[in-house]
Amino acid sequence: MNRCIMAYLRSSLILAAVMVLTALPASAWAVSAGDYNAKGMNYVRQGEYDKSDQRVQLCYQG
Amino acid sequence: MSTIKAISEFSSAIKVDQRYVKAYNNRGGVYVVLQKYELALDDFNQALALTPDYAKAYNNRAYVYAKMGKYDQAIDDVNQALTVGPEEAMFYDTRGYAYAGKGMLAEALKDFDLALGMDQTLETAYLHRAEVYDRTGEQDAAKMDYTAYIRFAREDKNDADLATAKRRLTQLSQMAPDFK
Repeated sequence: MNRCIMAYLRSSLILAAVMVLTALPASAWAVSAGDYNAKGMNYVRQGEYDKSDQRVQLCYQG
Repeated sequence: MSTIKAISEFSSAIKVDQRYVKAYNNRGGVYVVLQKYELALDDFNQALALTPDYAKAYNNRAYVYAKMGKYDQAIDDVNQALTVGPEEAMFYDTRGYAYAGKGMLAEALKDFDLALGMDQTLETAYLHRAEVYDRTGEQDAAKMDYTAYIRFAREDKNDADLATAKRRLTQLSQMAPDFK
């Protein structure tokens, strides 16, 4: 009996999840320009500056 | 290498949104680090074409112009950055760097003073002012600024500059003191 209830709940949850996910617009899945920019800024912060001749503080924007 | 990955991410941002101005500015900044000044200039130009009041992009382009020896254009760009504002300490540092490149040392010193008045931890301004004092023979002032630069400079930022500053400070310390 318990196994039946668990199986029912599991299949209901999966169904609900599929319904929610398919209802989301495609844009919700897309990576935005801001996301890419933020990732780029993370790399900038880890940047290797020792070989550069950067003398002036550059203005980045996250 | 993280700089290459950064360029890739900023390029992806631009691909997603060709009007995403921050990505042009940031990618230009990475090109500067890689000393690819023409590519940097293209990006800052694009950023400013999209957003003509983008002060940070003016400052960054000014630095590229200064590196190219185009000091007047560099000074014009910083003036523009200060006009559209809000002003930042590093803008004065950039303009001072351009003035120093042009040989206008009094103007350069004035700008470095302004920059450090706004931000006492702006290490590049200490380095630039130290170099100008060095050129004008003000050894004590140069020593103080080289010392400040060494104190504030992040070890990972620019080892070559740090090494040069330390070497010059040692040389100055071994010389006779200023006679006023």
